[in-house]
Amino acid sequence: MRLKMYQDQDNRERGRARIVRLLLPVLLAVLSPAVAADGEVVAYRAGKIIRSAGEAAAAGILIVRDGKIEDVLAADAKTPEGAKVVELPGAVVLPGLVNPLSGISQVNFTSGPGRASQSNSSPSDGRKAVGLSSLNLKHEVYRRLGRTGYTTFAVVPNDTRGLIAGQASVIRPALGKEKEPGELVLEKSAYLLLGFSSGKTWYDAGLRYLKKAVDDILKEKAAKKKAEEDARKKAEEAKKKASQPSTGEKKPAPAPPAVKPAAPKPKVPDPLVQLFKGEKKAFVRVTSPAALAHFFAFFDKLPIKFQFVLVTGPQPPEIVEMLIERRKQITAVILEPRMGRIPETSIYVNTARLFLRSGMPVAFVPLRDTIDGHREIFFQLAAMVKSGVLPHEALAGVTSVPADLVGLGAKVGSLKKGGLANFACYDRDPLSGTARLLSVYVEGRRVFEDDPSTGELSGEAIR
Amino acid sequence: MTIRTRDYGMPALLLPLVLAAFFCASLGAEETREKEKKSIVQAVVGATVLPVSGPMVRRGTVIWKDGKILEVAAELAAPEGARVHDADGLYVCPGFVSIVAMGVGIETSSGNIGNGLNPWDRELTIALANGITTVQALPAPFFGGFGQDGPLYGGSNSAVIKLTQGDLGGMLVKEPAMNYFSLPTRQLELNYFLLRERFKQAKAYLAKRAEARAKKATAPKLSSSLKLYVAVLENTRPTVFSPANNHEVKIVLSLSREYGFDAVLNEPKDAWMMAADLAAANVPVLVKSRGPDFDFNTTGPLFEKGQMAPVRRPAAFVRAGCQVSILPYRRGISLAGLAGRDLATLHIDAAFAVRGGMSNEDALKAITLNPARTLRVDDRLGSLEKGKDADLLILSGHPLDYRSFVLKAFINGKLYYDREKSRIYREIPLTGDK
Repeated sequence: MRLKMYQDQDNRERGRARIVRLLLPVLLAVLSPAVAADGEVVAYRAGKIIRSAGEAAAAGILIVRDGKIEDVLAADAKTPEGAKVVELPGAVVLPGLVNPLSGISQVNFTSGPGRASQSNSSPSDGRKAVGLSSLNLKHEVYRRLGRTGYTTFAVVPNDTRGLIAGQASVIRPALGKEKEPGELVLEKSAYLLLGFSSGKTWYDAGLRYLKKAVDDILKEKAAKKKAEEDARKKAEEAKKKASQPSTGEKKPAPAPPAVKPAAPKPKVPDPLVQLFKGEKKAFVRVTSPAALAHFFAFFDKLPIKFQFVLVTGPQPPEIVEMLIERRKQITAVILEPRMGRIPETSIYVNTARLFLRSGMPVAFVPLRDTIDGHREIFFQLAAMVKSGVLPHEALAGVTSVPADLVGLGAKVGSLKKGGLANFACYDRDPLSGTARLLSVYVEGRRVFEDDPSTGELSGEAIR
Repeated sequence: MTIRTRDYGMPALLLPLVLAAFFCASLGAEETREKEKKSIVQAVVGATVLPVSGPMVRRGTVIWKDGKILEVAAELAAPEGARVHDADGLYVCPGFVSIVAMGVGIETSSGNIGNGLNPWDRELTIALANGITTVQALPAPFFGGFGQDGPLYGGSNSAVIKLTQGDLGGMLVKEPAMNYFSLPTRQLELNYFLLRERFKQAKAYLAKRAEARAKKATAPKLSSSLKLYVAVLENTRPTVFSPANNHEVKIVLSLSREYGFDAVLNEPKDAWMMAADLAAANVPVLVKSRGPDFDFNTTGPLFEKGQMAPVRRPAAFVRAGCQVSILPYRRGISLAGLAGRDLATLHIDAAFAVRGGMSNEDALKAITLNPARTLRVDDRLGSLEKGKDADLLILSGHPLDYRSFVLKAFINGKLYYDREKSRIYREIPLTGDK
């Protein structure tokens, strides 16, 4: 009897939830505008807003003007006068997700970033290549990007497997009206991606490229020092001459007009040199333990070092420990949400968790670098959470951490004043595994909306 | 029925285990770091020492520092402040040298092996647990680490590497280690004639090059087809031949005599008949003690008339005075989880040769000092002598006893394998009388 009572109660609750879930998209469709007019203020009133990973979800109002977040108000606050109010009842609003390393803009690119460097093709030098140049707006993929919950992608240029793969550009999903690829771009050159494998060709080329950059810097420093010294000597000599008593009426000849050296042509700085100077961010992709050993063997020999974000695959605890010891060089780690294995055993280990427990920031990239792969991210993250990553860490790994890594922490990755109004609405806790993406907004404009008649099966139906 | 009961990740029970493993690993690493800081004198005391280069030392002591052996003697007290490994009733012998290993400790071999080494190879633990501390590493074949048998292909690159797990620094000993020379596959007189012609051309080239060097002129161009022949004649490293029959053995011997290079015979099947000639020519042999190889002809006789059983072959070579190195039955450690792993039982192969008539001493030599000599690294490896590398094993029994376990394996004086910490081998109880 008691059991039945509970069942009834459960069913009733479920029925109510079902009604809400079915009505929600309809409500959204009716209420929310596709494109807000310029200067218009829109207030999004949501049941739960997660302003940034780690903060508790709370009901609130998101005030958006010109694609930017003007304010985030409490639920009971008054909306500004003249603001258009959009109700998002029952929705969980998240900051739009950020992918720090993707090749999705390239149509033929299908492998995940963590696996790409396994290839032993000849190392190439693509330091001048920029992700922006590989965009092709005619392809549908840019419009579909918005359907994933991701609103920011750092895209790398074509040859992602090169030793110097190139500079990543940060883009947003297309709205369908863009004429130039540049309109998508938030940051043209966010970082330089390097990739290392073990093997002679990679080792030799890696050494050659990095040593050349270091030598250039050392030469430049030496030249600067010499120039300074020369200038100092000249000044001293001039001082001496000035202090000597002038003979007769002979006045010291006016100093000859300083011959300005012809202004050197504005040189395009070498990104690899910039990296050593700390002027550009570096992402280094080293996947296998052996490649890591070889990479650090020659990295340690360089007289100047640079800090980098390590892109790697799942590793056993020994390797994680080795990497954690290098916190001076490694600022963060980018992982796929996959498990590694402890050597000699069939025990799987959560590499991300090991890194996080030692205080290393971890960003996640989807297992597959496709639209579907991006859509599945929370399913993969839920598996990570089940094996020890904390929910807020998993959420940070796809929002605030990658946003900081690509240098756009102020704009994307969290919902705060002045940031871009990029957000995704789910119908429940996105890590629950049954959550359904309801809508996605990019800079205040809706780029995706779930259609109850043709959309995916809801979590209810899967059960 | 709810999705909550499903589990997508690791079972919760495993979590503490993983944690424990992680902490164990970190503790171990701290120990090694401490070791690296200062060079400590280490000593094994009270063991039955088999130095290979000399007679057995009962209640012996081996002392080493900075990766080099300082002393091997009986009833010697460990110096003060030394880290002492008590080995009362245990055996100590040099680490085994496998003259051939495929895909062990190598990730990729594009160009050379040294830059493709993988110190984190999982197979290294298994090799160390079975006493192998040094191998001549050959790149994994196309099929990927199956350790298949077959001829060693001409021009293949190889390197002598130590199995210093997790440590890239001390891994590479020598590269390239040997020349691999393919004899003509079709045994026609014309091919043998061409072979000799090539050697003549190579010799002529070397003479020209020497002349040019004397004049400090640029060396003449070397055609790629002659490269291997020139390398053989330069004799900076030994050359391996895999003769199919005794006729080819004779050709190799005559070439080696005529051009004065060091030849090594890999699996000369019936060459035991001319073992005395090989001994006189000082040509080392690499032989298996197990066989015959897998054969599809199941109805035919196992051995042709006049053939010798493989178990007796190594002893036959030794009796004639040849330098014998025992080959493992197959060259790999892993068959991707299938049967095999023959490299992991190199000492058992040596023990097999004892059954075929070899002495214990010779059998141990055939997996330590002899391969080291053949690889020309015997100045550093292969025996426990003053000044040599401290690559040694502490075993629970005689190294050729199948019941013996390697308890500790040191390479370059550093502990790389400890049975107590091994996740696989610590579970197996020690058996047998010591």
